[in-house]
Amino acid sequence: MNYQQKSNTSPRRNTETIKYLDNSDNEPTDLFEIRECIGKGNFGDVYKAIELETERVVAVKVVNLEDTDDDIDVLVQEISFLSQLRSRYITNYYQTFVRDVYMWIVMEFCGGGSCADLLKCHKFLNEDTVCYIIRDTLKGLEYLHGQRKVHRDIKAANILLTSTGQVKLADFGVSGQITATHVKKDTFVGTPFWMAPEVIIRRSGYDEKVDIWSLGITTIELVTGSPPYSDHEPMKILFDIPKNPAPILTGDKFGETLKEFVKFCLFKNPKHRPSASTLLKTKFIKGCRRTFSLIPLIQEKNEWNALHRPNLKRPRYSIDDKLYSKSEASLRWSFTTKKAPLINLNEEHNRCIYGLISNNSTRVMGALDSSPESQVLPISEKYPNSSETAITSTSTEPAPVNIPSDEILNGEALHVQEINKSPTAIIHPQKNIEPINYLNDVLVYAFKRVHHRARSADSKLAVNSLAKQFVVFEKDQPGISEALAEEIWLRMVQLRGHKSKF
Amino acid sequence: MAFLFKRNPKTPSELIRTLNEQVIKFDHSNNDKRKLQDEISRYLNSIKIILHGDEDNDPQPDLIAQLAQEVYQTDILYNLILNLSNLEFDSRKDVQTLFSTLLRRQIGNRSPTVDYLISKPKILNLLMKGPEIPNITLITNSILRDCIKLKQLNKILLDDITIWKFFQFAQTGTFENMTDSFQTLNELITTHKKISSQWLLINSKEFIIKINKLIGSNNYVTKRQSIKLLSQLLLTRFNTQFMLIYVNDPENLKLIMILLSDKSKNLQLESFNVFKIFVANPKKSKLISEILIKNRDKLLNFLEKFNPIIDRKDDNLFNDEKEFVVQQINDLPRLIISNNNPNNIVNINNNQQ
Repeated sequence: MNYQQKSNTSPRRNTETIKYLDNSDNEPTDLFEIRECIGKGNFGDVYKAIELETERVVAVKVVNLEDTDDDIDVLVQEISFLSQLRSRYITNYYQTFVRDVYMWIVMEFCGGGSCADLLKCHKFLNEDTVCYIIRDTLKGLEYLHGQRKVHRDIKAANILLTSTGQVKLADFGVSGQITATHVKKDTFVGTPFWMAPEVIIRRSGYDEKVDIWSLGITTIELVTGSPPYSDHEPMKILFDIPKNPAPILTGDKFGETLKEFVKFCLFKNPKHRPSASTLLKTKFIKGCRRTFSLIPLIQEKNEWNALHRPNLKRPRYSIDDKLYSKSEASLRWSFTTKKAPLINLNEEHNRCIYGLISNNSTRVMGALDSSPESQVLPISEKYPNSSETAITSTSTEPAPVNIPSDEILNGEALHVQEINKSPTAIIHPQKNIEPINYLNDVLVYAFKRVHHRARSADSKLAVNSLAKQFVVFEKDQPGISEALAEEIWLRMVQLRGHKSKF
Repeated sequence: MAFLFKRNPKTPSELIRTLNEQVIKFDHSNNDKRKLQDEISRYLNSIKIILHGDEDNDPQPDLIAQLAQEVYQTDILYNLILNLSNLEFDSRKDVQTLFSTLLRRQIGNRSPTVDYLISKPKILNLLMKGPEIPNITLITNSILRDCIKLKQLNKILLDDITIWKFFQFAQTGTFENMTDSFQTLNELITTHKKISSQWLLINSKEFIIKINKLIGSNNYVTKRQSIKLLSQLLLTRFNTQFMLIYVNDPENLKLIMILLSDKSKNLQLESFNVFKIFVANPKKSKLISEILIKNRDKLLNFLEKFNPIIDRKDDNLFNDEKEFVVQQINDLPRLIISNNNPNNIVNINNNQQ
């Protein structure tokens, strides 16, 4: 399914032979086996999943596009942006599908959890561990900043670990691209404790140096267990961070190179903060142990998790939720179509438009007409034969859509009947027809319509009191509405229906 | 730092010349592709540093001028695009950087890169065909969008018949390639409104067929983006003539009405923004009126319950518009099908009741 580039030396010569991967043809549920939900956010849920073809473990972000507050164009841009990043120090993007109103974003899976998960179990991490994590995070940042991207939300929770102990920067959900024409971002993104002063002040926008500040805060978080001011109100610290001097790491238990590293990151003036590449050359980072592995820490955490946090995350949406399920169809409009619309509609839509209404002996269906006053006929009774119910049109142009005959025979015509009694009715194409509430759905409904049509206040009043009377009568004599409705219907068929082969 | 490695081109002009010589070598199969890629990556990286500086050096205008001058003397831009898929993943982005930086470069009020691209139409044409090659689509589209910002280039791109392929590009390939090509198409016809309004008018028939196809797509994202683009175009002041053509075709109204009753609130809202134009049109064609009249009661009923607003902010505007639409539909003549001849439509004037 991944695009395989032809190793042809002249890329242009063979463009026709390149096969496009047609996104819409793939049902992601056929390609991935969804396992447990591993996270949720405002955007939607994250699942662990297995790509069936390769048996690769992946993370799938499922974003509900119908519910999200974000502009769909912004999300689309984010994905283009993600697909242009490739580095072993970030969680890499694989592909995206659209299924129903959901977007499935398939990403690299990090089985070791996040550094915040490590802190929950281990409370704080020793300097060797922190050095290793920060070094690889810096490499991730160096890559991102080299691509002229700002992460904008660096914190332990967004530094992920693979099951083999590799460190990867994750969650680019709010990142932005710096362009030369618009160097400074002036949107308010990030998490308060980790936010750089200039992000909060927003006087002059900001650049990639905000990530360096957040990295300094993250370093404090990793060695102490929490970011500075973590016991304060998040909203109050928005005032404190720009006002107070930069946090410093003190105390004998921390090494001098570590303290120095934190100091470099936390210069309040962003111009004084070194770049990621420069920070990689600091004594603290250079002093990293060559052979170091996070695996024991991760395993310990996993065991601790099994004891203390056995509950799986419950997703916000069910993976099987669909807006366009087959059980419903939407409103049918009446189009006296001479030809099919230009587009290829899906079958559900086809059934919606080309209802089975007839008012003329020669025209069976296909061509529509249904003002509420017009006749409706249960075609199935008179046209049990599919050849007869096939679409015929009075015009010479081809009939629009072939409706499978079994649908017509299975009481579908009765739905039509229902619809035309109430023009906005939703069609329920299930086999068993729900009983009609004759008082509400027919009589009171009809009165409402008449009320709506009444021009003068007097007429409206009269209609109103008549309707009220019927409610009273039905209570008194249950079934009276049904009988009356049927009689009216039969009489109308008698008077108006004889022309139409009823 | 830029010129540390051995056998290195000394000046920006040499750099461009050497790069140009290397890039065309992809055409001859005997070369070690990997080695060539590495070499080209280094050159492109050096170019990037000349253009944008690095940590220790700010970009120097005279070096940039030399570099640009050499670019205009050669076919380097064309050759880079032609061989884009042969370059390393990150080098392709450096090509994009080279383009966008050169495009922004101005001398007085002249833009030498624009003049150059106008004199070499094969470059823009090649860029328009970029989405035919999946792994360079995002790069060529991004360069195209930089070109679109410049009016003269936008005009040339609109007149390139490859533009019609973008409706196909917007429906095929990976998600990011589809949506990115759609974005390019969108910017092609919305950025410089005067130019695009002429184009839309001349090409209205074909455009409407193509955009309707996108709106009818099975892909929810394609549907939403294309209906949004359509409503944006119709409501642009410069596009009035195009709008009048659009709202007089009953097929368009049918499509929009179907979408109006879609299950997606977002699609409903977007299609309402188009539907209201049909209704508001004071000179509705006979066929349009007929459809509205036939569906008068269904529409009134539907609109009564119609409330797709998710974002509270637009509530007032939406409610006003809805009220207006309801009023207009309410005022439509009612129709009754005659018993004997169903083609005989009798209008009953409301006032006579």
